[in-house]
Amino acid sequence: MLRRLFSRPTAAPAGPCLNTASSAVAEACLESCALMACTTGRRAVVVNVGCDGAEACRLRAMGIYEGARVSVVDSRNGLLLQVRGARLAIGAAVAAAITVIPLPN
Amino acid sequence: MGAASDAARATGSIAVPPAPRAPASPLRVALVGNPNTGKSTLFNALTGMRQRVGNFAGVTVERVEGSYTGADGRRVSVLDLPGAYSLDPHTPDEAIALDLLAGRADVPVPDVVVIVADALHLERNLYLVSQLIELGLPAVVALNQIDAATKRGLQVDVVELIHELGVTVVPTVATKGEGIDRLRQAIARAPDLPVPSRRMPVPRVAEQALRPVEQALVDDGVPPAAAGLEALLHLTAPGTDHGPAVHAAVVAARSQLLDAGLNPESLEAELRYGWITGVMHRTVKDPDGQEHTTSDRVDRLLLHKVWGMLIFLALMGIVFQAVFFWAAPMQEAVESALGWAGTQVGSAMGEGDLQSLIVDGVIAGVGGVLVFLPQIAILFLFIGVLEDSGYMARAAFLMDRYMRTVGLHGRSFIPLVSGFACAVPAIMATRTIERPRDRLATIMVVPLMSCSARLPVYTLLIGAFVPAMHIGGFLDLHGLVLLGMYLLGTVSALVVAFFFRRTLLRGQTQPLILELPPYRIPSPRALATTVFHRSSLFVRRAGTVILALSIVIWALATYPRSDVPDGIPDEAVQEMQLANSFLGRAGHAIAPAVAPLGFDWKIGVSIVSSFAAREVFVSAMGTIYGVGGSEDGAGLPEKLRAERNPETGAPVYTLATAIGLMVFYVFALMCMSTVAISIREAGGGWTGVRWAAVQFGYMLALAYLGAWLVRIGAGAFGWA
Repeated sequence: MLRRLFSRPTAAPAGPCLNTASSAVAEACLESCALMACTTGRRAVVVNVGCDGAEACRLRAMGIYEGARVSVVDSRNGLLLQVRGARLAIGAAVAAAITVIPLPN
Repeated sequence: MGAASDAARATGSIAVPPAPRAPASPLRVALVGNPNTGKSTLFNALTGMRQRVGNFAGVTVERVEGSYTGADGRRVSVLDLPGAYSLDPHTPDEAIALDLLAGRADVPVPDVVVIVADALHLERNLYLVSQLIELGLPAVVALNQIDAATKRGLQVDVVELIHELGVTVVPTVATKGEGIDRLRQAIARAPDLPVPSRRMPVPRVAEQALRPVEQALVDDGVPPAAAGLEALLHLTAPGTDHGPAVHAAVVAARSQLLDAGLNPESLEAELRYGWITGVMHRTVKDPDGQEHTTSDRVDRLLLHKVWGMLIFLALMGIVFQAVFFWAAPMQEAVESALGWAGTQVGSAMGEGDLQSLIVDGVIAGVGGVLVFLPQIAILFLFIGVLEDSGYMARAAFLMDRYMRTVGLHGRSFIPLVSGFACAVPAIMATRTIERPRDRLATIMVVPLMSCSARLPVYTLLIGAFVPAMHIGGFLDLHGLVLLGMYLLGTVSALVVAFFFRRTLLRGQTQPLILELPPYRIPSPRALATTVFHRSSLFVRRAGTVILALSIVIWALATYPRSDVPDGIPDEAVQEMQLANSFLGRAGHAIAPAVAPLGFDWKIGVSIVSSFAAREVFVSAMGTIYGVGGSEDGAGLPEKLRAERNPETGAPVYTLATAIGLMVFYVFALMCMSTVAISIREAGGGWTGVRWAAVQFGYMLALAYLGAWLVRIGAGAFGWA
């Protein structure tokens, strides 16, 4: 489980996403990492929400889904994100289970 | 019911076959929306003070109902559903909303759904809106907090939004009561308008894959109107309580979608947010487009690892200092009013049992508790300010790391802080914690947080026995001791939670996912409503439970009347009468049990009397000392200080006794209401009873041990 959470997948998961963000991901061809690894000010595109069913559903409803863009507002103490105009605070365990591709600033 | 919706229902796009109702029957309205949208404030603005709080059948989800009379004279009953981010069947609150709106609950399907959307966070709110309009029920969107959005520079094209959503949209500012009349008009008209339907486009391949799932759901009893939405929900949450045919259809659909290169788990979110992006582009202009708001700048400080914690602790310190300082003049006013009432009633009535009942039983008993109303109101005011300003969510985020070390969830923090006011709503607030074990661990420790009912006990004993002095010229020792009691309860709650999570409630804690609302200046009107509701609950309690118990205690302390020899002082006569009364005998019977704690039989009696409600300790002391104490008009603290052991002549109450007694009350679960709510919230039935028994037992054991340790410790230092 831990290995899966902290591994660095080399490719985005199979299946193209439907919105434009995922095409941007494909074009960027950047290496993915855990959201937890992103620092303050970093923008990223979500490529995999690897949490349990209930958490994944909650995250997706709140705007953290495969293909969504997020901005890290504060990474000092857990992770504070800007998602769809709202501020979401997520714990380290959740942030470690979300795989993203950081976008160049 | 309008013709349009009737037609829609006839063609199978509505949840439940409506029973024919007379036109005069009340219009049923359900209020749904994301948390932090001002939904409850809007509910209050719509219904005023006429509210009933209950539970949905079989689940521990709160059901709040209110009503108002429409402009046409028709009664409108409003049901406030719990805040939800989506209609996800994983969480109890959201599942109940889905069941109710899809016609699977024990209550009829509402005639109109009012969807409360926060104009400031419209993009995220539209996710739930898009799900709700797919249910095919007449709907109205209340675009709340429109003033905050305008202030932030957002321009919402309401007409275009109506066009996009296919339902009426009414801009409102619930805190100021703006737009409420228009909302009421829109609610009255909604049943006559065409019912809304799915607006987002679904790719043909997904439509084809989902069609068999929809059919299987309809065959399984799901209303046709809800089948489209539920089919999408089942893709991410397969294996819910539907038959094998539905399960097989879902498995087939998932495989078809995967073959087509679509991700079944994220399909719904991608489709909805894809559509929402377009809607936002066409309806909302954000010329500033500011990414970093004032709230973010404030958060840089308030969420700082060191400064954030220091500010949090300072805020808590200010709250407890203020509870003492601000309340003092108001308490004095209440005390003198009660003293005046006692004197007036006493002089107007002749000597006798009735006068004693009114003055010593009712006024001393109930009045002794009412004196603490100002402190309780101030505490509720502070909790309200922290909640409404948006700070409470930050505190949960800040505390998550620490809560997690003892196995609690960040969301446990809000119920724990609410426990400072009252354990009953606090235990109910644990419903926001999704995992049963996380929730149960919080329920088990919430009553250790010092609730407002303990405040009378603390303030009586601190006021009577802790010296009034200032440390460092500004820190009041009374306030510090009070803070100490609150800290003792809080630290114990965390330690006990740690033990529970490693023994009876072992398991992983659910990770934190929390929305941080923007900071707001709390509305005085909303705060006043909250403080009024909570305080009136306390007064009602004083007027019912405590009044009844005060009368019982007075009767037990007065009867049977005993014959006393002539020629002894009045005080001694009363003392003897009290000792021979039913209460006195009960007190003597339990005296050996409380003697190791340094308590005499009168304290024992008061503790036994307060098993139903802690604050009764103070009224019982008032009654006992009103009956058995001196007639010099001294207040209860003076009487306690003057109390002497008849055998040794030593003071009964020392600082150590007072601290020991306070520690006893920090731990002991002496509240019938809390026990009842724990039984219900811990699962109900025998499961609930077992957990409540564990809770009551461990808290009583801690209380006894704590008070005993204070006595031993004080004795060792020579303070006893």
